[in-house]
Amino acid sequence: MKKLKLFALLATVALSFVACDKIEEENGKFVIFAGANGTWYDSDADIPDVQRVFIEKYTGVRCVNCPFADDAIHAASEKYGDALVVAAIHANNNFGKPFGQDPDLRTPKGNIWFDEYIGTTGIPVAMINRNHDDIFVPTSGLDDRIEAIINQESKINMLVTSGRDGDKYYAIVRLGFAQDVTEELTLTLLVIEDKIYTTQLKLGEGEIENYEQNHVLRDIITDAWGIDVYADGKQGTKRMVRLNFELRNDCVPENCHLIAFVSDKVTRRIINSCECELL
Amino acid sequence: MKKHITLLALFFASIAGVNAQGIMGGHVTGNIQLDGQISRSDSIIGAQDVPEMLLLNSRADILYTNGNFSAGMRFEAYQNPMLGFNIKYKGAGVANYFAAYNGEKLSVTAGNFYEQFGSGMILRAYEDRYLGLDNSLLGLNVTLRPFDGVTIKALAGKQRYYWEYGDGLVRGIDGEVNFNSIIKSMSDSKLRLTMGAGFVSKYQDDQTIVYPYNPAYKLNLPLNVGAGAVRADLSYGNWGLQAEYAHKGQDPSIMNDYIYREGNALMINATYSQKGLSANIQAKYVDNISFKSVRSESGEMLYINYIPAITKQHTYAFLSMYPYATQTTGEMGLQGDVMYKIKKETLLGGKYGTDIHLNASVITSLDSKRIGGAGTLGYETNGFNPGELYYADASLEVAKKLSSKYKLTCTYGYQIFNPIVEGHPGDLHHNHVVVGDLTWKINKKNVLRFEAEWMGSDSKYSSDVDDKRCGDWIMGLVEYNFTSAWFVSVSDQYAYKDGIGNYYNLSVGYTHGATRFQLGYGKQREGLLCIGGVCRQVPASNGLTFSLTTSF
Repeated sequence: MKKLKLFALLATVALSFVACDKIEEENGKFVIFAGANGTWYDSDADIPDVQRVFIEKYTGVRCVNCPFADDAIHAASEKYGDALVVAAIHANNNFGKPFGQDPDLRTPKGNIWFDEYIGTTGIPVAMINRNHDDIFVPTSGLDDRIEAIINQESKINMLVTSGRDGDKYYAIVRLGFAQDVTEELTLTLLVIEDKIYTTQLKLGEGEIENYEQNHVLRDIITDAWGIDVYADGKQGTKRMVRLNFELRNDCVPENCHLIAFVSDKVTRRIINSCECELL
Repeated sequence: MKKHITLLALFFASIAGVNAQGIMGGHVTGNIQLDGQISRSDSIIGAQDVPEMLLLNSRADILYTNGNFSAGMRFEAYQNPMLGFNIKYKGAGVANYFAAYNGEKLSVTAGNFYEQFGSGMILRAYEDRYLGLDNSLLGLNVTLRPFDGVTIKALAGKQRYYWEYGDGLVRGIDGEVNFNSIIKSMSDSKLRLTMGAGFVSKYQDDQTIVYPYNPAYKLNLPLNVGAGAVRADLSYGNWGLQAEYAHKGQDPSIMNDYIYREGNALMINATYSQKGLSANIQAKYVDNISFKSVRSESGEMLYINYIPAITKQHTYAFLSMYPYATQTTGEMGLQGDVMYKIKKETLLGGKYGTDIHLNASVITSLDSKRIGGAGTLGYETNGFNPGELYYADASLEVAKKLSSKYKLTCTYGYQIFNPIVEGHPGDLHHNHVVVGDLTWKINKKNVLRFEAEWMGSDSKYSSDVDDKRCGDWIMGLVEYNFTSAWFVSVSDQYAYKDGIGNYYNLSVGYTHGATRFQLGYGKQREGLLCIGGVCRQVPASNGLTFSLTTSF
């Protein structure tokens, strides 16, 4: 019997070294979207009917009030969960300048947004769904603004997924038109990273070392103002696009996720947004 | 592969060098085979001209053995490949080389090796030169026998693909326990029990296979595909029972039209034997079990597993005209086989006894319902319900030694064959075959054999389908063996009704010691050559063939 047990043990150990992959079925198929980079295709996938809220918060490591905005947005995230999509754009020559050897969290495309909408206005400030008529200090007044949007019916439903092809990443963004949309549209794809630790100034506490920066905009895969959406905009239309990209070397993939939003090409108001982990 | 010649030369040179110093002894054995063909066109049977005039397949196996150590190589040359062999074989070089240690507790082979787990349902690396099939693995194969009655095998390697190796990496482990050896109380038991289990995994890099129904998608391919099997071999007195079940994970490939259904296979074989009587019944269930190390390979190479055929492998020409090819995508079947010897000095047995051999088999598709094509689960089955008839075969053979000089064998066979198993639709073929085979032993050194065959079929030849087996046939053969060294045979197959073709053959052979030479002239019908359910297409040929084999 000892011999049998030893044999069973050996076999179990050996079997644990070899495995097989299990591909999950999606809508009865075992396929992945592999269209040409940036080309729009028809889609037949199910897209959740959800209206989300995109908050773009402008912040900086030398901004003493910014941690209070972080706290308020964190509380809102806890409250609204997946319905809230947050990007923290570090900007401003003075408030965004890093301490010592800390990484510079500012990005060229983030600076384009900052220069366009914020300019000389102090930070922290935020916009919801890029309503540039309502730039506000996001330490209060979040709930009313958020609820005014998430209670609306979604015009365009969105779904973003990610994958890896060799050493490159790709995102697949799907749009489902729940209503007729006549506006010209653009799609913007962001890389966001959490858990970046830097020094941060905070009112009353001074320099806080190893402050955890979350929702940090690290890259915009598309143009800063997005790429054109090719769709007829009719209710029931479903479209999708694949966007290939390389992740910045100083990003930790496990801490990154993607945000995609679709906006009016003229007004740049955001119609809906979504996010996913980076696989 | 050819690059390894230098390495091999160095290896043998090192052996020779050490040998020269007197450290090693050992001995060298080997065999050489040369097959050649000259064929010219024949529009009736569909034979094509061969631009090279002469086609040659040749090989030489050389084995060095010294105690527990052995090393070997095989040289092959296809200049150019004979008709029916894949043109990718064209060339010459060292196709196989290995070094091995075979100890009591441990065996290790490095290089090319052949291996089998159980009946081969999840792994069988083997070679069949007549099929042009060689799926040997290049890698490492280790067999461990830690104690009496327990065998563990582990291997990893890549499969031979003509003169190269397939991209897929094959890893496997197998264990077998003989309970009569490891449990003392069972050592003398009439109950004999052996059980085993194995697991094989193949890895292949991702590739783009476009989803055929929407080119914007590609198949999400599993890179690691696993297959496992359990088996048992039980016997008690005259009775025996062998069973093996295999399961394979998702393995979309060109063999199953890239569907994601998991595979299953079950083989059960029950036997009974006593003096003068043996019987067995086999059952087989195969569902999407084709397992290759490269997903896009559709030819005869790169099979990891092997599904044994359960139909009888006939030797007479007309009975073997419709060989059954195992359908690894899905089939189920039954076979029964009884051999009985009527005792001597009885009414039916006569002076020498009479041998009766009865065999019957039936193979059907699975009762299945299509779900979709590539990129889907493919189909679903309705339990063990049979589907369309693929093949049925019943034969009765009676062999009787009439006197000290004459032996007569008479066979009747009935076959139903569905051409869909060869990939083209059509009506079922119903064939009746009668064979008479008379051997006349003139004296110790001279034997004359006569064979007459008839096949009646409801199939009719048409140029649309161009199946040259159709119709009613007769055949005669005379074979004369003389001086124990020479033989000559003449045969002719003729489609006398609803068929096409007249295939005559003349053969002469000479054997001296371990050397045999054979020369043939005649016509060869196109069709499938199958061995153990594995087949290759053989084109028609018309001309001369010769073969030389020797060993040392």
